[in-house]
Amino acid sequence: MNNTVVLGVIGSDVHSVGNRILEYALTEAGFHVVNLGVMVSQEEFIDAAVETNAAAILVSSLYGHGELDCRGLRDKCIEAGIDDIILYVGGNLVIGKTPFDEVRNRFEEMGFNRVFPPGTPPETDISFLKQDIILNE
Amino acid sequence: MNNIMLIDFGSTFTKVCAVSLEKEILLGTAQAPTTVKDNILYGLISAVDSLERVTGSISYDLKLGCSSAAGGLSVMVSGLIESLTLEAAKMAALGAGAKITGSFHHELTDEDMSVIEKNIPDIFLLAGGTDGGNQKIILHNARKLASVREPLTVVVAGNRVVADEVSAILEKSGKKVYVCPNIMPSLTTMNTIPVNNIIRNLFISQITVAKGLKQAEKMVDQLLMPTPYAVLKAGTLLADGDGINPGLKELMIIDIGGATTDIHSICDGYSTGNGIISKGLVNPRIMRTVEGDLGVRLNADTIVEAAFSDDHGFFAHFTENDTKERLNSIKDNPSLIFDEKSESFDDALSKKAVNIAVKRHCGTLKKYYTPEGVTYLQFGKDMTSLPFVIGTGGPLLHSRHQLSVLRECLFDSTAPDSLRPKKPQFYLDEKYILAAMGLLSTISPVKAFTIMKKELKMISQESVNGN
Repeated sequence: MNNTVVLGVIGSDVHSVGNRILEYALTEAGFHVVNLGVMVSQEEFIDAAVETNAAAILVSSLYGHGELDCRGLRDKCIEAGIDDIILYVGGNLVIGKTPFDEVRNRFEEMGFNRVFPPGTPPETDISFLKQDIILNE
Repeated sequence: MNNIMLIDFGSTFTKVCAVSLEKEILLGTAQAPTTVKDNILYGLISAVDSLERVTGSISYDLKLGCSSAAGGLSVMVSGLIESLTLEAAKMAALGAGAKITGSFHHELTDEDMSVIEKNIPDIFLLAGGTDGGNQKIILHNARKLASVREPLTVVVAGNRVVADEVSAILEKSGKKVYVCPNIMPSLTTMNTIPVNNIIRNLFISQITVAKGLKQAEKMVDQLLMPTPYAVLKAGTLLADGDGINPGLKELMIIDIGGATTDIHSICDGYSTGNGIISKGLVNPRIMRTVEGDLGVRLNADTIVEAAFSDDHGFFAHFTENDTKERLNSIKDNPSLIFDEKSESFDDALSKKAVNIAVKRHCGTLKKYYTPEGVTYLQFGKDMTSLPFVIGTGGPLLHSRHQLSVLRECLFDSTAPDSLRPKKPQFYLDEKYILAAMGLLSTISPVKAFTIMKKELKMISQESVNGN
C-alpha cells in the first residue's frame, strides 16, 4: 500500500491543533505524513502530492470558509495529472446550521471522496483511508 | 611553506594575489585580461609581471587557482515541480559555483531537448521526486536525455527508489553518470551538499580539461574550484570563524559584475517577528543567487529598462539621448570604463543592479487578513537584522560612490514586504581578494581569516575614491 498522505489546513485558516493531532495519529497508524501545516493553498497541496506521489490529500478547515477554499481542488488535481488521488475533507466546513448531509453532498459534488463532520475521531478517517487506498490501487 | 600565489582566472580578468603565510599579510595583487582563446597562461604571465613590478620577484611555495573563464561552469537542471525539486536543484548548482544555462520542470519536451542539444552544458543535474515519491518524471527525463547524441555528463539526484534505473538508462546510451543522494529526500528537507561536492569535483577533474584550462597546471599547482564557490567559501569562513577566532556569524556578499550580479548570504534568516508562518522551501544557510540579467556591462540595457519602468531616480540626471548613447558605447566596447563624469552612469547601473538582486535574494513577508486577525507568511530568509554586508566586484571597486551603491541593498520602508537588511555595517573588498582567500582557506583557514580581517575595509561614510 502507498502510505504517503499530504495533510494541511486550507485557505487563510490558522487552526493548528487538530492538524498536529492528525499528523500524530496518522503517523502512529503507519502513514508517511507530509504535513504542510496551516494556511495551505490548493496549489501547495497539489505540488506536494505530485512530488511525493501521495495516495491521498487530507484537507482540514475549521474557520467556516471551507467551501470557498476547497472549490476547484479536484479540477486542479486533474489538471496536474493526479486525477485519481483520494481527497478527504473535514472540520467546520460551513458556517451556520446546515444539516451535515447537505454539507457532505456539496463537498462530494466538488470531488471529495469523503467528508467528515466536526468531532470525528482520527481512528474513523484512518480506517476509511486504509480501505480507500487499497481499493484505489 | 611561506609564499603562496592565488590565481583567479575570471571571465574578463585574470587576478593574482600573493600572500606571505609567515607574516600573515598580502604581498600584492594585480590583474591582466584573461586569454582563453590563445593560451590561458599568457594572461597569467602578464598579471604576474605587473604584480612583480610592484613587489619584486617572489618565489612561491604553492600556487592555487580558481576559474570562471571560458563560460564558467555551465549547468542545466531539471526537476518535477518548479517550486520544489527544480528550485532545490537550482540552489544546489548555484551553491557549487555554477552558472545555470537552462532549467526545466515536469517532462522534458522535444522543444526542451532542442534547447539542450543546441547548448550542451558541462553538467546536467537531473532531479525529481522525493524519496519514494514520483518516479515517472525522472525516468521519462532520463530516457529523453539518453537520446542526446553528444557526450553528456549527468548528475542524478532524484527519487532514490529509481536512481539505479535512471543511471542504467543513461549509461546504456554512453552518458557519464554520477548518482548522488536525493536533493530533496522529503518535502521538508533539502540535501544540497553531496550535489555541491560532486559538481565541484567534476569541474576540477574533467571540465577544466575540456575548456583548455588544464594548461594552467603548467604554472599552477592545483586548480581547485569555480570562482563563485571560492567567494562563497571566503564568506563562510568570515561568518563561521577559523576555529580559533570567532567569525561575524551572519553576513551578505554583494558581487557586482559585468555579466552577472551575485548575492551570497550566510545566515539562517528565521523570522524575527511574532506569529509569522514560514512557507515555501527553507532556504539554505549558505546561499548564492545569481542574476544573469543584471550584469552592468552585458545587460546594461535591461537594467536601464527596469529602472525606467519603476520610475526609480537613479538615471534622473541623464537625458534619454545621454542614456542611449552610453548604452551604445557599452555595447560596442563591454570593457569600457567611463570617464569621470559618466562614472555616475555606471553607479546608476550598479545601484539598480544591487537594488533588484538583493530584493530577489532576500525573503518576503506577505500580509493576510484571516478571521483570526492579520497573519504574515514569510517566504525565504528574513535578513532585516543581518549585521554585515560586504561589497566586491569591479564596477563597485571602481566607483566613487561605493557606499551609496551598497546602500541600495537596504530595507525600504515603502516596500516593507522585502526583508532586506536594516542596519548592516558595510565592508569593502577593496583589494579584490575574496576569491583568493576562499582558495587560501583550503590550506589555512586561520591565515585566510586573519588576512581578510586586515584587508576588508569598513566603510561608514562616502570616501572619495582616487583622491
